[in-house]
Amino acid sequence: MSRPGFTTILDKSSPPMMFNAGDGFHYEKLPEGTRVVYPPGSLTPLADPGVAIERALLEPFAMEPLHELLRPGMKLTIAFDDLSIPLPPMQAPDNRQLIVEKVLEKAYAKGVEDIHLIAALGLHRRMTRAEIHHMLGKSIVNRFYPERLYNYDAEDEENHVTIGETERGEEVRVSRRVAESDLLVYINVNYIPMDGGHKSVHTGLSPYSSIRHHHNPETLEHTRSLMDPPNSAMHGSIDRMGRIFDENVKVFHIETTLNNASYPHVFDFMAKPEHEWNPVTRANFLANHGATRSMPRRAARKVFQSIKAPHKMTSVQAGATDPVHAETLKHTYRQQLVPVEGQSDVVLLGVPYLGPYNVNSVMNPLLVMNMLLGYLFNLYRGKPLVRRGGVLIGTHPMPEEFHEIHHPSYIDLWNEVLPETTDLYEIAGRYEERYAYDPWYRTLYRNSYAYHGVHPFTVLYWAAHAMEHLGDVIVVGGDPKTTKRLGFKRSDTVAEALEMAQDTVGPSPSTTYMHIPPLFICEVS
Amino acid sequence: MLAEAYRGKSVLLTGGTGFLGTALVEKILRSLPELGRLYLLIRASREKSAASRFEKDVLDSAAFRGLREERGDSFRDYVASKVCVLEGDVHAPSLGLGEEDLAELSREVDVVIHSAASVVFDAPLDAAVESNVHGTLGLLRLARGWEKRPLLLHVSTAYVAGMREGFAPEKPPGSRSPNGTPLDPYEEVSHLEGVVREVEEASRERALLRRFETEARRELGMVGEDEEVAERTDQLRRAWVRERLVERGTERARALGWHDVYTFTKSLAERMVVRERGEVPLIILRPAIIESSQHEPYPGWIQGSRMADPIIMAFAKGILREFPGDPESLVDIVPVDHVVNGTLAAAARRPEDPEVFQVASGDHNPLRYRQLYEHVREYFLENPLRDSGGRPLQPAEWSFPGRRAVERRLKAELAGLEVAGVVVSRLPEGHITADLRGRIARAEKRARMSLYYSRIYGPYSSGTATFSTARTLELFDSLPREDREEFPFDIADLDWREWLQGTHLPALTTRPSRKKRRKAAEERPREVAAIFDVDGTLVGSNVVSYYAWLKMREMPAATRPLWAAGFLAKIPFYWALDKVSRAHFNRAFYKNYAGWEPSRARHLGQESFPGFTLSRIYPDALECLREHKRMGHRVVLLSGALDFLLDPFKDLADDVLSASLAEEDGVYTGELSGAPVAGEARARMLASFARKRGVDLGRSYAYADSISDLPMLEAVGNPVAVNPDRRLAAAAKERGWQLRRWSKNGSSPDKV
Repeated sequence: MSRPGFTTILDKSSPPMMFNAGDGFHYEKLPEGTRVVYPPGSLTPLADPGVAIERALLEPFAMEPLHELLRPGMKLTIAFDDLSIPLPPMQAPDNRQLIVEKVLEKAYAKGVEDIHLIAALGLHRRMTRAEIHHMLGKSIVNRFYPERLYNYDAEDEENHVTIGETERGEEVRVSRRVAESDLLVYINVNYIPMDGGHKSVHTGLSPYSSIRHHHNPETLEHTRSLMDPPNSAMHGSIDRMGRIFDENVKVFHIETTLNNASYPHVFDFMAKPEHEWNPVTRANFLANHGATRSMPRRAARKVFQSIKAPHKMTSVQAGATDPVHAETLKHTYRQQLVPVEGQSDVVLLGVPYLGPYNVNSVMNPLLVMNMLLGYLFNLYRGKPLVRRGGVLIGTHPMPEEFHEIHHPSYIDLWNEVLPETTDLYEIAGRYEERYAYDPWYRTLYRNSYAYHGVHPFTVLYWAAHAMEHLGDVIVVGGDPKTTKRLGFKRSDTVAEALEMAQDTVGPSPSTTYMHIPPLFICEVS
Repeated sequence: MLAEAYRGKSVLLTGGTGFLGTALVEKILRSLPELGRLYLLIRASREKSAASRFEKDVLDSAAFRGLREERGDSFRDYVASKVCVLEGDVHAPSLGLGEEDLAELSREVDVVIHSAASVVFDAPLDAAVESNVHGTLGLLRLARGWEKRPLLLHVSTAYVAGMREGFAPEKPPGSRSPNGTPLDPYEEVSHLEGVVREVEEASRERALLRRFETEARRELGMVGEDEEVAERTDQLRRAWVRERLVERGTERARALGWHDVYTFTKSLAERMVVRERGEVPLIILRPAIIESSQHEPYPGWIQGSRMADPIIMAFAKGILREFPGDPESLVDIVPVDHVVNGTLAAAARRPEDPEVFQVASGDHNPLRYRQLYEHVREYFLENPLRDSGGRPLQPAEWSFPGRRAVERRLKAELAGLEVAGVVVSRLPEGHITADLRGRIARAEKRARMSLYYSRIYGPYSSGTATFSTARTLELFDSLPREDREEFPFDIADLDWREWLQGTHLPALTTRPSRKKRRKAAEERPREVAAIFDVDGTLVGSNVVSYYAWLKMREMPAATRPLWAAGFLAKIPFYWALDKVSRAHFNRAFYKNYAGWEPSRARHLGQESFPGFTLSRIYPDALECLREHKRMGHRVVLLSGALDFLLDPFKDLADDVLSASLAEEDGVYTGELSGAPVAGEARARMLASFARKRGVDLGRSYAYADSISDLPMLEAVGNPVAVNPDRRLAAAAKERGWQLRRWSKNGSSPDKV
């Protein structure tokens, strides 16, 4: 049994706290009385993932064992999550490789020939051959790529079918190959509770016309939180779609959970509470801190992006989507849930270098906003860690840098839309469709390695709940221009930010530092 | 008094929407208000009903301006009280009318004026016989049974006299043709129908059909689907039939002594109505060439292009450089109001025996070609036409060398041009060749048009008869003074110079050109397209660098420099070839792809987009393209590049027209599967595409960079030369086209 997450209150003798701050760190002593919440220790992984997978396929939830679903002449499609999860990408072999190999083995044994492997990337960018290679291994790529192993293409109109509409009029449209398959095997890596379940198909294998029903400001404002599916309007919409999908397509869902061993040993200071640092840990941190400050940002980014996480599988379950996902959530919460007593006026967060949309890429200002107000703010169950009207303080330099290949429509949105307004509803009404249907973005999404034209909009909408809830956002070390454009405040130090926060929340506020990564979820009572 | 004669009478008029017909309707409504009813037999057109044709084509005509003003608000009611439009067709059995209408006509009609005819000189035989002979007979046979035994006034033409000199009397036709051949009209008609059948059968011979199909495929190129090819094949076949029928008709007409199929069939009709008239009183009215009015409805009123007009305009434009006729021969013109008044005066009679009246000028007020030429030339020297660039056009000076000499010269010119064409076709395809070909084509068009005019009009301008108008004059003189003033048709009153220069020529030249009229008429919105060349215009690349990239991508890194060195050695050859001709270059270069598998090519094509193309796309081009999209234009990529390389572009454009390689045994042969998409072929492909997709090239845009794109740029209304090579830049400057510089780093519009 690993150590559970815990809370400490800083006193006069407490050491300075380290913060993630993009491709670098921030290191500052926090005031006495600050509450710090630390993540739980890593769970012990499964001793033999191969055996566990085999057992999951043999004893699925509410379905026949996989081998009984396979027959010669059938159309089998294996879909898998793209590189947005887990973070950082895991060291080979990836869970997906282990499972695809097993599934293929069974399919071959049953004489299945018509097999397609689809990276369920939804409106994300296509993965390169090298990225797929890392995820699935050489042998699968050599056998299937590019004709039968490929990236999902949400803009291939002809190869989509509308299979129905939910009772609320939400269009359920999916890849034709998937809809026409005799069996869809979906392989998921569950990194946070938001992922998996029906979301896999309805964001991963569905086009904009479907996704727009749950990725919009209204729905996301009422998604409280993203990490708590029963209280998420987005998951509500997706589950409605899932019910219709299940009536039309037979799905064998395989989900896995990971422990939170996110960083290799050289970055042990990340997960280790500061008061437990020994001189070596501290020296290592300071060396890294110094290095990232003196290195050009590109070089630092390269180092960070090369990190592969030593995540290990903690569970694998297969069968019908709903029972499988319920089991998955249990395992995820077991690793990630930390009970916290009461909300705070001010919450501090270190924004790490990596989010789901900048793997091997650049975390541009929109993605920083998405990370801070979308993902990190939403790491709660019950009540947000920060009280209504409170202040969220994040650490990130937020440079005005974009990846031109991966994020072309982000650049245009940044330059064209945000100087006009930061009101999400106005942005959605005035600009969304134009970007969604722009022929150039469509071309880049389909043929280059660009996120879909509409993707930056959904990234902004992710912040809808936080923007409605928070009194203020302060970015420590943030670029004055970018923070201003997003409607944030900035400061040079956490101390200064805490000063500023008092204008919003009053004197002597309660302050909590949620010490991530690794990511965890606060169950606020 | 004519007004009295027509009081309470009813008239049936055919051909009421034509030039003469419209004038008749107008004059009847204006000057014969006591008339009972005017029945108009009007055929519905594809788009318009008979009633709306009457509204649009007749009542809305400028001819009615005066009457509208005069009658004011009561105009409509007045017209409605007088005119009864019957939707029917002279060619259909019983005129295509219902029982009730027929019964009414039978009961009411006192006078039938038959003015419907096919006035196309070179109409195909079947159409001319159908319209001029059968139409007339059908009407006569019907009218014969009507209660009032109405008078039939058959509008014919003075030129039924045929090609013979001397005096053509106002007498019904005899039993011989103009050159004295005995002629039975019934036998002749059945002979002509045999000819029509024969030609139709011949057109369905297999070898011919194959030829049409090949031609259709060539024209439609890559945009043609099977049904479209089939449709086009049949169009070509029908065109061939039409051409043969024109030829055969003209041949037969000339053999019997007529100028053309029009006068020939009109004469056959005359002969047959005379024989078949039974108890119906018959008048044949033969006008000469009807031209714009002298006085009414207003001086210079004209509609459509009349017989002498194309030749006058061709002369004014400098196309007709010499006149193919005898300058002393007569050109027999009459203003339309003379014909209208003559018709109304004649139709008030009810002769026992058939009567003939000729409305012509040659007898009493002759106009000779030399005079016509002088008046016309004088006019155009003072009021020259202008070309599209606004420069005045010089009318030619004619020396009247005679028709034979003119035709000889034109034929020699055409033969020379043909030789030149053959020589040019052997030259390597390229810009110089394209330019030469353009010049040859223009010269040939000019010569062919001249020859056409000469053949069609020539016979009229040498050795035609003088049409006697004694009886017509007699008719005029017999009218009371009031009628002579109200219905004047004394040709002696006309001063040719004054009428030509003061009335007719201004009327001809001030009305909108046919193109403009068509434009105004065609209100259906046709699409505007924005056509982009790809290599060099949208993307800073070319087929060679693409190939090198694709090739090297598949190679182990170590061998790349070696291959590149070898490949570079061939570049000067390709460069030179491209300078001569883009089409040849494409053909030669694409051989490099021989042996490639299409699936591999497609995959590499997709990889080439992020790996090679993306960094070479011109942002300005993209902005321009997106702007066109936003304006709702149809964006078309037209490129000589191969389809698999352009595949990633398909979302940017509504259509991608590109080249593709032929496959054999699952690999590319290295041969193009169609013509290279370069030079003239590109323009042809664009034209065929525009036809099929309903694109208005005149309002469309094209963007291209190379001289080989010149024909494509010339085909659109808004051509833009982008990063032009030296020769295209020069050509663009000369034509006043827009020039633009697109680069990787923003634009700078080049001022011309």
